[in-house]
Amino acid sequence: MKKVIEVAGLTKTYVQKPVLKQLNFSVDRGEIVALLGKNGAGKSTLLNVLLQMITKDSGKVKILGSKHLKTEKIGVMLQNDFSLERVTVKEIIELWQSYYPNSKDYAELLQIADLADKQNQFLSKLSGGQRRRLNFALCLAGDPELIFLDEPTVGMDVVSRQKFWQQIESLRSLGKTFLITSHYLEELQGVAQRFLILKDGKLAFDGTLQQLQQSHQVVVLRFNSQLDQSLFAELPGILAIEANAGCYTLKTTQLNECLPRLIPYLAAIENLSIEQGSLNELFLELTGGRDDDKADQI
Amino acid sequence: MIKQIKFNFKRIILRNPSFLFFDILIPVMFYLLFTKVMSSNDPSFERDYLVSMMIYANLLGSVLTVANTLVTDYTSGYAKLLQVLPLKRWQYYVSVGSSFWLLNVLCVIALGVAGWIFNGIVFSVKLWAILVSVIPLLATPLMLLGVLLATTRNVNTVNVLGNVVFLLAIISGLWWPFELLPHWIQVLGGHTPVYYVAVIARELVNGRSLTLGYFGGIVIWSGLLSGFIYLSEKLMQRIK
Repeated sequence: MKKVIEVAGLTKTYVQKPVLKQLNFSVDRGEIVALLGKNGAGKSTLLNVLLQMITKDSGKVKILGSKHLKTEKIGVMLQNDFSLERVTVKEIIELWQSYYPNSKDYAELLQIADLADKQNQFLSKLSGGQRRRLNFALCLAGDPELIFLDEPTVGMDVVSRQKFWQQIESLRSLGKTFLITSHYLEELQGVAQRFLILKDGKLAFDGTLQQLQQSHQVVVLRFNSQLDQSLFAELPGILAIEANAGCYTLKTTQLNECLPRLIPYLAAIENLSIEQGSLNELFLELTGGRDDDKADQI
Repeated sequence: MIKQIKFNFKRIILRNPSFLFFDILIPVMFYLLFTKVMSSNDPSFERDYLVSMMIYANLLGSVLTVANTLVTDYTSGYAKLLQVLPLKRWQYYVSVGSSFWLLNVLCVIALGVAGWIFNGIVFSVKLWAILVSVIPLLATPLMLLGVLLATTRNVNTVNVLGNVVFLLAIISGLWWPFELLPHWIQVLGGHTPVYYVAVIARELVNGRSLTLGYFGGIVIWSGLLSGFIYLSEKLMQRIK
C-alpha cells in the first residue's frame, strides 16, 4: 500500500459555515508532509476528521487503506497535552504499552521522552516541555506506521526541538509516515518533503518547498529614501511596506513588474538590495495573512 | 484491561485523599453524630441507620466521584485521546466503573467497621456478604446520575449540580427517618432510586421479604437516566 492517507472531496461545515471545502490530497508511505495554514484555516478540523474525532459532511477519507481508523497502527500527538492527576511517568508509559500488541520497549520510550530521571514523577509535576516530549513518546508506543503530530514542538526548548526533529528524521528512514502541523516554518523547512497549505478551508498549495518558492516567489526590496510612502503603495504585487526613518522594506510577488516602475525614483533611492523572501513570507502570502498586515501599513 | 483497572484504581481511589474524606469519613461522622443525637430504644434503629449511611456513602461515590472523575478525564484531554487509542470506549467505562464499584465496597466495609467499633453492631458473615455485594450493586444505577452530570463537561457545573446528592439523601430518608418527613416530601422522595435502594437494603438486612416493585423502580430509573445521558450528549455536541 503506497498511499497511507487518501482524501477526496472532503467537506465539513460548522453551524452552516463551510470549514473544509472539497479537499483532495493524498500522502504516500514514508513521506513527511507539513500541514500549514493561519489560525482558522481548518487545520485542526481536518486533523479531527482524519482521526474520526468529528464526522465529515461529505467526501471520502481512507487511512492506511481503510475507512475505519486502525488505531493500533497510528500514533497521535494532539496540540494540547493531556495530564492526569496522581499518575507517574512510568505508569502512563506502561499503560500505553499495554494498549498495543507490539509496543516499543519501555527503556526506548523513556529515552525518547528524555525522562529517565523522572520516571517516578507525577505527570502534574512535569514542565510543559517535558510533558510534550512524553506525549511524543506515547504516540510512538505502538510503533505506528502513520503518525499525526499537531504542533509538536510547542513548549519545547531549543535543544529538545533539535533532538525531536532528529528523531523524526530517523523514524522516516525506518519508513514511518508523518502528517505534521506547525507554526515553526523554519523547522519544517528542513524536514518536510511536501507542504499542504490550507486557506479558508481550501487547499491553496500542495507541493514541495522548491515548487512553493518557484510559484509564489516573494522578493524583499530594501532601500533608503526620503520619498513619501504613498508613492510605493501603488507598485505591482506589493504585499507590505515598512518605513522607518527613511529606511524602506518592500515585499512584492511581482519583481519584474515592480522594478521598472521604480526607475523614475532611482535618483532618490540609495542602498537598494533585493533578496528572496523567507518561507514565512511565502506562507503569509499564500494564506492571506499578509492582507491584514498590508491594511495596517499602507 | 487488568492494567487499565489497576491504573484507574490507583489514581481514583488509592492516591485520592478526597475520596477518603468525602466518601468515608463524612458518612462515618454523620453516622456517629446522628446515632448519638437521635438515640433510640429501638435496637434496629442503629443498624438501619448504619445501612442508610452505607447507601449515602455509595451515593456520594457513585454520583460525585464518578462525575468528577469523568469530567476531569474529559477536561484533561485524556478522554479525547482515548478516541485514537486501541482501547475501546466500553473498556474505559468498565475499568473506571470497576474502580467505583470497589470504592463503594470499601465504603460499606468502613462504615460496617465504624458501626461495630462505636455502637457494637455485629453483622453475621452472611449479612456482611449481602452488604458488600448487594449495596454496591444496587448503587450502580446511581453511577448513571454521575455520568449524566459529567456530560456537562464542566467541573464547576458538576460541583454545583452535584449538590443534588444531599437533596436526594434528605428526601429519601437517608439522613432522617423517612416517616418523620412531611407528607409531600415523602411522595417525592418515595419515588427516587435512592429510596428504592435504601428500602431493599434494609429489607435484606432485617430478613424481611423484598418489595419487588422497587427493583422494577431501579430498572426504570436506570432506563430514564440512560436516556437523559444520551440526550445530554447530543445537546452538548450541538452546543460544541
